[in-house]
Amino acid sequence: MEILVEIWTKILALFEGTTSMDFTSEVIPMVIMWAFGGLLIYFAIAKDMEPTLLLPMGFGTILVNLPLAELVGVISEEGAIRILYDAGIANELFPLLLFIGIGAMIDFGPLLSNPKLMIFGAAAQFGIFFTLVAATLLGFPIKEAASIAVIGAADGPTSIYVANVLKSENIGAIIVAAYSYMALVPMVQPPVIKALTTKNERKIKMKYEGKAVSKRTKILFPIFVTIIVGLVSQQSVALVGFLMFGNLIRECGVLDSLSETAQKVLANLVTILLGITVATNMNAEKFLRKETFIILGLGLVAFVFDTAGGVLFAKLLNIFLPKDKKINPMIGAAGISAFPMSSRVVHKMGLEADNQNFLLMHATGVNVSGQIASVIAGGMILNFFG
Amino acid sequence: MLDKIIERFTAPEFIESLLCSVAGMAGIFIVVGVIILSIVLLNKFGTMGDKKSEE
Repeated sequence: MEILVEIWTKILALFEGTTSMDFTSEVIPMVIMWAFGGLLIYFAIAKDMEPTLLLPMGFGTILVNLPLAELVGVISEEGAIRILYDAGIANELFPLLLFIGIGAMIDFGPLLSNPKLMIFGAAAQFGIFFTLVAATLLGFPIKEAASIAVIGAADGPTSIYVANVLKSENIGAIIVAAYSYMALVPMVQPPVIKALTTKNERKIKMKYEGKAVSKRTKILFPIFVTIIVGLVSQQSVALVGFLMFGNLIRECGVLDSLSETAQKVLANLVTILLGITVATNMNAEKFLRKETFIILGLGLVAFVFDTAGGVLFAKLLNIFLPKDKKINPMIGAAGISAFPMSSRVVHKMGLEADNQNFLLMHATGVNVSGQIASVIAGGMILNFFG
Repeated sequence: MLDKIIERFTAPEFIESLLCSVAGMAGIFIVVGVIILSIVLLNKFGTMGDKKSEE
Protein backbone atom coordinates (compact mmCIF):
# COMPACT_ATOMS: atom_id res chain seq x y z
CA MET A 1 0.00 0.00 0.00
CA GLU A 2 2.81 2.36 0.93
CA ILE A 3 4.46 1.67 -2.38
CA LEU A 4 1.25 2.58 -4.21
CA VAL A 5 0.98 5.86 -2.30
CA GLU A 6 4.61 6.60 -3.11
CA ILE A 7 4.06 5.90 -6.81
CA TRP A 8 0.91 8.06 -6.81
CA THR A 9 2.82 10.89 -5.10
CA LYS A 10 5.53 10.65 -7.75
CA ILE A 11 2.94 10.70 -10.55
CA LEU A 12 1.36 13.81 -9.02
CA ALA A 13 4.79 15.39 -8.71
CA LEU A 14 5.27 14.92 -12.47
CA PHE A 15 2.31 17.21 -13.10
CA GLU A 16 3.11 19.63 -10.29
CA GLY A 17 4.27 22.35 -12.63
CA THR A 18 1.17 21.98 -14.77
CA THR A 19 -1.40 21.78 -12.01
CA SER A 20 -0.04 24.87 -10.28
CA MET A 21 -0.58 26.96 -13.45
CA ASP A 22 -3.13 29.75 -13.41
CA PHE A 23 -5.85 29.00 -15.96
CA THR A 24 -6.49 32.44 -17.45
CA SER A 25 -3.04 33.98 -17.32
CA GLU A 26 -0.98 30.89 -18.14
CA VAL A 27 -3.00 27.97 -19.53
CA ILE A 28 -5.10 29.88 -22.09
CA PRO A 29 -2.14 31.82 -23.60
CA MET A 30 -0.17 28.57 -23.71
CA VAL A 31 -2.95 26.77 -25.59
CA ILE A 32 -3.36 29.73 -27.99
CA MET A 33 0.34 29.56 -28.78
CA TRP A 34 0.11 25.79 -29.39
CA ALA A 35 -2.76 26.48 -31.77
CA PHE A 36 -0.68 29.21 -33.45
CA GLY A 37 2.28 26.83 -33.76
CA GLY A 38 -0.10 24.25 -35.23
CA LEU A 39 -1.41 26.86 -37.68
CA LEU A 40 2.14 27.63 -38.87
CA ILE A 41 2.78 23.91 -39.35
CA TYR A 42 -0.54 23.61 -41.24
CA PHE A 43 0.31 26.53 -43.55
CA ALA A 44 3.76 25.06 -44.16
CA ILE A 45 2.49 21.58 -45.03
CA ALA A 46 -0.99 22.07 -46.48
CA LYS A 47 -0.51 25.43 -48.20
CA ASP A 48 3.23 25.09 -48.98
CA MET A 49 3.84 28.55 -47.50
CA GLU A 50 7.59 29.00 -46.87
CA PRO A 51 7.66 25.48 -45.36
CA THR A 52 11.41 25.50 -44.73
CA LEU A 53 10.99 28.20 -42.13
CA LEU A 54 7.37 28.11 -41.01
CA LEU A 55 7.47 24.42 -40.09
CA PRO A 56 10.47 24.63 -37.72
CA MET A 57 9.04 27.89 -36.35
CA GLY A 58 5.66 26.28 -35.74
CA PHE A 59 7.19 23.35 -33.93
CA GLY A 60 9.51 25.66 -31.99
CA THR A 61 6.49 27.75 -30.95
CA ILE A 62 4.87 24.67 -29.39
CA LEU A 63 8.17 23.68 -27.79
CA VAL A 64 8.86 27.00 -26.08
CA ASN A 65 5.29 27.24 -24.82
CA LEU A 66 5.27 23.96 -22.94
CA PRO A 67 4.71 24.27 -19.19
CA LEU A 68 7.93 25.20 -17.45
CA ALA A 69 9.84 25.33 -20.76
CA GLU A 70 12.22 27.69 -19.06
CA LEU A 71 12.99 25.30 -16.24
CA VAL A 72 13.23 22.09 -18.25
CA GLY A 73 16.10 23.39 -20.31
CA VAL A 74 14.41 24.50 -23.51
CA ILE A 75 14.77 28.26 -23.23
CA SER A 76 16.63 28.58 -19.92
CA GLU A 77 20.14 30.04 -19.96
CA GLU A 78 21.63 26.55 -20.34
CA GLY A 79 18.82 25.25 -22.57
CA ALA A 80 19.58 23.99 -26.07
CA ILE A 81 17.47 26.58 -27.87
CA ARG A 82 18.88 29.45 -25.82
CA ILE A 83 22.43 28.26 -26.58
CA LEU A 84 21.59 28.12 -30.30
CA TYR A 85 19.96 31.56 -30.05
CA ASP A 86 23.03 33.10 -28.43
CA ALA A 87 25.35 31.36 -30.89
CA GLY A 88 23.45 32.17 -34.07
CA ILE A 89 20.87 34.90 -33.73
CA ALA A 90 21.95 37.17 -30.88
CA ASN A 91 25.22 37.73 -32.77
CA GLU A 92 23.51 37.81 -36.23
CA LEU A 93 25.50 34.82 -37.49
CA PHE A 94 22.66 32.66 -38.88
CA PRO A 95 21.11 35.31 -41.16
CA LEU A 96 24.55 36.11 -42.56
CA LEU A 97 25.37 32.44 -43.19
CA LEU A 98 22.02 32.09 -44.91
CA PHE A 99 23.00 34.97 -47.17
CA ILE A 100 25.97 32.95 -48.47
CA GLY A 101 23.49 30.28 -49.56
CA ILE A 102 21.11 32.83 -51.10
CA GLY A 103 23.98 34.53 -52.95
CA ALA A 104 25.03 31.15 -54.35
CA MET A 105 21.46 30.53 -55.55
CA ILE A 106 21.00 33.80 -57.46
CA ASP A 107 21.90 34.26 -61.09
CA PHE A 108 22.44 37.98 -61.62
CA GLY A 109 22.66 37.43 -65.41
CA PRO A 110 19.29 39.05 -66.29
CA LEU A 111 20.29 42.11 -64.25
CA LEU A 112 23.80 42.33 -65.71
CA SER A 113 22.46 42.16 -69.25
CA ASN A 114 20.03 45.02 -68.55
CA PRO A 115 21.38 47.01 -65.56
CA LYS A 116 18.83 49.84 -65.91
CA LEU A 117 16.26 47.48 -64.38
CA MET A 118 17.97 47.88 -61.06
CA ILE A 119 16.36 51.28 -60.57
CA PHE A 120 13.03 49.50 -59.96
CA GLY A 121 14.64 47.45 -57.22
CA ALA A 122 15.39 50.77 -55.49
CA ALA A 123 11.90 52.20 -56.07
CA ALA A 124 10.22 49.12 -54.63
CA GLN A 125 11.82 49.72 -51.24
CA PHE A 126 9.38 52.59 -50.74
CA GLY A 127 7.19 50.42 -48.51
CA ILE A 128 9.98 50.15 -45.94
CA PHE A 129 10.18 53.89 -45.46
CA PHE A 130 6.43 54.44 -45.66
CA THR A 131 5.97 51.84 -42.93
CA LEU A 132 8.69 53.48 -40.84
CA VAL A 133 6.68 56.69 -40.83
CA ALA A 134 3.37 54.86 -40.28
CA ALA A 135 4.75 52.83 -37.35
CA THR A 136 6.12 56.00 -35.73
CA LEU A 137 2.70 57.62 -36.14
CA LEU A 138 1.12 54.64 -34.42
CA GLY A 139 3.31 55.32 -31.42
CA PHE A 140 6.11 52.77 -31.75
CA PRO A 141 9.52 53.98 -30.51
CA ILE A 142 11.66 54.86 -33.51
CA LYS A 143 14.02 51.85 -33.31
CA GLU A 144 11.04 49.53 -32.98
CA ALA A 145 9.36 51.27 -35.94
CA ALA A 146 12.55 50.80 -37.99
CA SER A 147 12.66 47.08 -37.15
CA ILE A 148 9.02 46.69 -38.18
CA ALA A 149 9.57 48.67 -41.39
CA VAL A 150 12.19 46.20 -42.58
CA ILE A 151 9.43 43.61 -43.02
CA GLY A 152 9.04 45.53 -46.29
CA ALA A 153 12.46 44.30 -47.37
CA ALA A 154 10.52 41.11 -48.20
CA ASP A 155 13.62 39.26 -47.14
CA GLY A 156 13.56 37.12 -44.00
CA PRO A 157 17.28 37.15 -43.12
CA THR A 158 17.45 40.96 -43.52
CA SER A 159 14.44 41.39 -41.23
CA ILE A 160 15.96 39.09 -38.62
CA TYR A 161 19.36 40.79 -38.88
CA VAL A 162 18.06 44.35 -38.59
CA ALA A 163 15.50 43.58 -35.85
CA ASN A 164 18.21 41.86 -33.88
CA VAL A 165 20.79 44.64 -34.25
CA LEU A 166 18.12 47.17 -33.21
CA LYS A 167 17.25 44.90 -30.25
CA SER A 168 13.57 44.76 -31.16
CA GLU A 169 11.19 43.39 -28.54
CA ASN A 170 8.86 42.20 -31.28
CA ILE A 171 11.28 40.07 -33.26
CA GLY A 172 8.92 37.05 -33.21
CA ALA A 173 6.04 38.98 -34.76
CA ILE A 174 8.39 40.64 -37.28
CA ILE A 175 9.72 37.29 -38.49
CA VAL A 176 6.27 35.74 -38.74
CA ALA A 177 5.03 38.76 -40.72
CA ALA A 178 8.09 38.82 -43.02
CA TYR A 179 7.90 35.16 -43.97
CA SER A 180 4.10 34.97 -44.12
CA TYR A 181 3.75 37.91 -46.49
CA MET A 182 6.62 36.62 -48.63
CA ALA A 183 4.62 33.45 -49.07
CA LEU A 184 1.48 35.52 -49.72
CA VAL A 185 3.05 37.61 -52.51
CA PRO A 186 0.86 35.91 -55.18
CA MET A 187 -2.20 37.10 -53.23
CA VAL A 188 -0.97 40.52 -52.05
CA GLN A 189 0.56 41.91 -55.24
CA PRO A 190 -2.03 41.33 -58.03
CA PRO A 191 -4.83 43.49 -56.53
CA VAL A 192 -2.39 46.35 -55.90
CA ILE A 193 -0.96 46.11 -59.43
CA LYS A 194 -4.44 45.97 -60.95
CA ALA A 195 -5.59 48.97 -58.93
CA LEU A 196 -2.66 51.06 -60.16
CA THR A 197 -2.51 50.06 -63.83
CA THR A 198 -4.87 50.07 -66.78
CA LYS A 199 -5.36 47.00 -68.97
CA ASN A 200 -3.54 48.78 -71.80
CA GLU A 201 -0.55 49.39 -69.53
CA ARG A 202 -0.52 45.72 -68.53
CA LYS A 203 -0.47 44.82 -72.22
CA ILE A 204 2.73 46.80 -72.93
CA LYS A 205 5.26 44.45 -74.51
CA MET A 206 8.93 44.92 -73.79
CA LYS A 207 11.65 43.73 -76.12
CA TYR A 208 14.14 41.45 -74.45
CA GLU A 209 17.63 42.08 -75.69
CA GLY A 210 19.38 39.13 -74.11
CA LYS A 211 22.89 40.47 -74.28
CA ALA A 212 25.54 37.90 -73.41
CA VAL A 213 27.33 38.64 -70.15
CA SER A 214 30.98 37.67 -69.97
CA LYS A 215 32.21 35.39 -67.23
CA ARG A 216 34.65 38.10 -66.15
CA THR A 217 31.76 40.53 -65.59
CA LYS A 218 29.89 37.93 -63.55
CA ILE A 219 32.98 37.39 -61.38
CA LEU A 220 33.80 41.08 -60.98
CA PHE A 221 30.19 42.08 -60.21
CA PRO A 222 30.02 40.69 -56.63
CA ILE A 223 33.44 42.14 -55.84
CA PHE A 224 32.53 45.60 -57.18
CA VAL A 225 29.17 45.66 -55.40
CA THR A 226 30.83 44.75 -52.09
CA ILE A 227 33.41 47.53 -52.52
CA ILE A 228 30.79 50.13 -53.55
CA VAL A 229 28.47 49.26 -50.67
CA GLY A 230 31.44 49.14 -48.30
CA LEU A 231 32.37 52.67 -49.31
CA VAL A 232 28.89 54.19 -49.45
CA SER A 233 26.79 52.32 -46.90
CA GLN A 234 29.02 50.70 -44.30
CA GLN A 235 26.20 49.19 -42.25
CA SER A 236 25.06 47.15 -45.26
CA VAL A 237 28.46 45.64 -45.81
CA ALA A 238 27.99 42.50 -43.71
CA LEU A 239 24.71 41.66 -45.44
CA VAL A 240 25.85 42.54 -48.95
CA GLY A 241 29.32 41.07 -48.38
CA PHE A 242 27.98 37.62 -47.42
CA LEU A 243 25.41 37.70 -50.24
CA MET A 244 28.08 38.61 -52.77
CA PHE A 245 30.56 36.10 -51.36
CA GLY A 246 27.99 33.37 -52.02
CA ASN A 247 27.51 34.70 -55.54
CA LEU A 248 31.26 34.81 -56.18
CA ILE A 249 31.52 31.15 -55.17
CA ARG A 250 28.79 30.41 -57.72
CA GLU A 251 30.24 32.43 -60.58
CA CYS A 252 33.97 31.79 -60.21
CA GLY A 253 33.63 28.42 -61.92
CA VAL A 254 36.27 26.63 -59.86
CA LEU A 255 34.26 26.05 -56.69
CA ASP A 256 31.29 24.13 -57.99
CA SER A 257 31.21 21.79 -55.05
CA LEU A 258 31.35 24.68 -52.54
CA SER A 259 28.64 26.48 -54.51
CA GLU A 260 26.43 23.42 -54.40
CA THR A 261 27.09 22.99 -50.68
CA ALA A 262 26.24 26.64 -50.00
CA GLN A 263 23.02 26.44 -52.06
CA LYS A 264 21.79 23.22 -50.53
CA VAL A 265 23.51 21.94 -47.40
CA LEU A 266 24.49 25.26 -45.80
CA ALA A 267 21.21 27.00 -46.62
CA ASN A 268 19.14 24.04 -45.42
CA LEU A 269 21.16 23.53 -42.24
CA VAL A 270 21.04 27.18 -41.25
CA THR A 271 17.32 27.37 -42.09
CA ILE A 272 16.55 24.44 -39.79
CA LEU A 273 18.49 25.99 -36.91
CA LEU A 274 17.18 29.49 -37.64
CA GLY A 275 13.56 28.36 -37.75
CA ILE A 276 13.55 26.52 -34.47
CA THR A 277 15.74 29.11 -32.77
CA VAL A 278 13.73 32.20 -33.67
CA ALA A 279 10.82 30.49 -31.94
CA THR A 280 12.54 31.46 -28.67
CA ASN A 281 10.79 34.79 -29.18
CA MET A 282 7.42 33.17 -29.70
CA ASN A 283 6.49 32.50 -26.11
CA ALA A 284 3.01 33.63 -25.12
CA GLU A 285 4.22 36.45 -22.90
CA LYS A 286 6.16 38.12 -25.72
CA PHE A 287 3.84 37.25 -28.60
CA LEU A 288 0.25 37.59 -27.40
CA ARG A 289 0.15 41.36 -27.31
CA LYS A 290 -1.74 44.07 -29.13
CA GLU A 291 1.52 45.11 -30.82
CA THR A 292 1.79 41.76 -32.60
CA PHE A 293 -1.45 42.36 -34.49
CA ILE A 294 -0.45 45.93 -35.34
CA ILE A 295 2.89 44.62 -36.64
CA LEU A 296 1.14 42.04 -38.82
CA GLY A 297 -0.98 44.88 -40.23
CA LEU A 298 2.05 47.09 -40.81
CA GLY A 299 3.80 44.22 -42.58
CA LEU A 300 0.96 44.11 -45.08
CA VAL A 301 1.17 47.90 -45.48
CA ALA A 302 4.90 47.55 -46.21
CA PHE A 303 4.33 44.94 -48.93
CA VAL A 304 1.48 46.94 -50.50
CA PHE A 305 3.52 50.16 -50.64
CA ASP A 306 6.62 48.32 -51.93
CA THR A 307 4.51 47.09 -54.82
CA ALA A 308 2.93 50.51 -55.32
CA GLY A 309 6.34 52.24 -55.21
CA GLY A 310 7.72 50.04 -57.99
CA VAL A 311 4.64 50.30 -60.22
CA LEU A 312 4.22 54.07 -59.81
CA PHE A 313 7.92 54.69 -60.46
CA ALA A 314 7.66 52.77 -63.73
CA LYS A 315 4.59 54.83 -64.65
CA LEU A 316 6.51 58.00 -63.87
CA LEU A 317 9.37 56.93 -66.15
CA ASN A 318 6.88 56.15 -68.92
CA ILE A 319 5.89 59.83 -69.03
CA PHE A 320 9.40 60.66 -70.29
CA LEU A 321 9.97 57.62 -72.50
CA PRO A 322 9.19 57.51 -76.24
CA LYS A 323 6.17 55.41 -77.27
CA ASP A 324 8.17 52.44 -78.54
CA LYS A 325 10.33 52.27 -75.39
CA LYS A 326 7.55 52.29 -72.80
CA ILE A 327 8.00 50.04 -69.79
CA ASN A 328 5.30 47.68 -68.61
CA PRO A 329 4.68 49.22 -65.15
CA MET A 330 4.00 45.79 -63.67
CA ILE A 331 7.71 44.94 -63.72
CA GLY A 332 8.22 47.65 -61.09
CA ALA A 333 6.30 45.46 -58.66
CA ALA A 334 8.92 42.72 -59.04
CA GLY A 335 11.39 45.04 -57.32
CA ILE A 336 10.46 43.60 -53.94
CA SER A 337 12.93 41.02 -52.92
CA ALA A 338 10.57 38.03 -52.67
CA PHE A 339 12.41 35.91 -55.21
CA PRO A 340 11.23 34.31 -57.49
CA MET A 341 7.54 34.60 -56.55
CA SER A 342 7.25 38.26 -57.44
CA SER A 343 8.68 37.88 -60.97
CA ARG A 344 6.37 34.91 -61.57
CA VAL A 345 3.35 36.96 -60.46
CA VAL A 346 4.24 39.77 -62.89
CA HIS A 347 4.90 37.33 -65.73
CA LYS A 348 1.54 35.62 -65.13
CA MET A 349 -0.30 38.94 -65.05
CA GLY A 350 1.39 39.96 -68.32
CA LEU A 351 0.14 36.78 -69.96
CA GLU A 352 -3.36 37.35 -68.56
CA ALA A 353 -3.45 40.80 -70.18
CA ASP A 354 -2.08 39.51 -73.49
CA ASN A 355 -1.14 35.90 -74.10
CA GLN A 356 1.89 36.99 -76.12
CA ASN A 357 3.27 39.30 -73.44
CA PHE A 358 6.33 37.58 -71.95
CA LEU A 359 7.76 39.61 -69.09
CA LEU A 360 9.61 36.91 -67.19
CA MET A 361 13.19 37.93 -68.06
CA HIS A 362 12.58 41.62 -67.32
CA ALA A 363 10.74 40.79 -64.11
CA THR A 364 13.51 38.41 -63.03
CA GLY A 365 16.12 41.15 -63.60
CA VAL A 366 14.09 43.54 -61.46
CA ASN A 367 13.48 40.85 -58.86
CA VAL A 368 17.18 40.07 -58.33
CA SER A 369 17.82 43.83 -58.19
CA GLY A 370 15.29 43.95 -55.38
CA GLN A 371 17.35 41.36 -53.54
CA ILE A 372 20.36 43.70 -53.53
CA ALA A 373 18.33 46.88 -52.97
CA SER A 374 16.47 45.40 -49.99
CA VAL A 375 19.75 44.52 -48.32
CA ILE A 376 21.02 48.05 -48.97
CA ALA A 377 17.75 49.42 -47.53
CA GLY A 378 18.28 47.29 -44.41
CA GLY A 379 21.77 48.78 -44.15
CA MET A 380 20.36 52.30 -44.56
CA ILE A 381 17.99 51.68 -41.67
CA LEU A 382 20.96 50.51 -39.59
CA ASN A 383 22.96 53.57 -40.68
CA PHE A 384 20.23 55.78 -39.24
CA PHE A 385 19.17 53.87 -36.15
CA GLY A 386 21.84 51.21 -35.42
CA MET B 1 -8.75 63.75 -30.44
CA LEU B 2 -7.56 66.34 -32.95
CA ASP B 3 -4.97 67.52 -30.43
CA LYS B 4 -3.63 64.01 -30.17
CA ILE B 5 -3.36 63.68 -33.95
CA ILE B 6 -1.58 67.03 -34.24
CA GLU B 7 0.72 65.99 -31.40
CA ARG B 8 1.64 62.78 -33.23
CA PHE B 9 2.36 64.68 -36.46
CA THR B 10 4.55 67.24 -34.72
CA ALA B 11 6.41 64.77 -32.50
CA PRO B 12 10.20 64.81 -33.00
CA GLU B 13 10.15 61.02 -33.61
CA PHE B 14 7.70 61.43 -36.49
CA ILE B 15 9.76 64.21 -38.07
CA GLU B 16 12.93 62.15 -37.60
CA SER B 17 11.34 59.13 -39.26
CA LEU B 18 10.08 61.28 -42.13
CA LEU B 19 13.50 62.81 -42.74
CA CYS B 20 15.22 59.43 -42.45
CA SER B 21 12.74 57.99 -44.95
CA VAL B 22 13.48 60.69 -47.51
CA ALA B 23 17.22 60.34 -46.91
CA GLY B 24 16.94 56.54 -47.02
CA MET B 25 15.16 56.48 -50.38
CA ALA B 26 17.63 59.03 -51.77
CA GLY B 27 20.51 56.94 -50.38
CA ILE B 28 19.24 53.75 -52.02
CA PHE B 29 18.87 55.48 -55.38
CA ILE B 30 22.42 56.84 -55.11
CA VAL B 31 23.94 53.44 -54.20
CA VAL B 32 21.91 51.68 -56.89
CA GLY B 33 22.91 54.39 -59.40
CA VAL B 34 26.58 53.78 -58.65
CA ILE B 35 26.06 50.02 -58.99
CA ILE B 36 24.28 50.49 -62.35
CA LEU B 37 27.18 52.64 -63.54
CA SER B 38 29.68 50.02 -62.43
CA ILE B 39 27.73 47.28 -64.25
CA VAL B 40 27.71 49.37 -67.44
CA LEU B 41 31.46 49.81 -67.14
CA LEU B 42 31.96 46.14 -66.32
CA ASN B 43 29.93 45.15 -69.37
CA LYS B 44 31.99 47.52 -71.48
CA PHE B 45 35.37 46.40 -70.27
CA GLY B 46 34.48 42.88 -69.20
CA THR B 47 34.82 41.54 -72.74
CA MET B 48 37.76 43.71 -73.81
CA GLY B 49 40.50 41.10 -73.43
CA ASP B 50 38.31 38.44 -75.03
CA LYS B 51 37.80 40.58 -78.16
CA LYS B 52 41.53 41.23 -78.44
CA SER B 53 42.36 37.55 -78.13
CA GLU B 54 39.66 36.71 -80.69
CA GLU B 55 41.15 39.27 -83.08
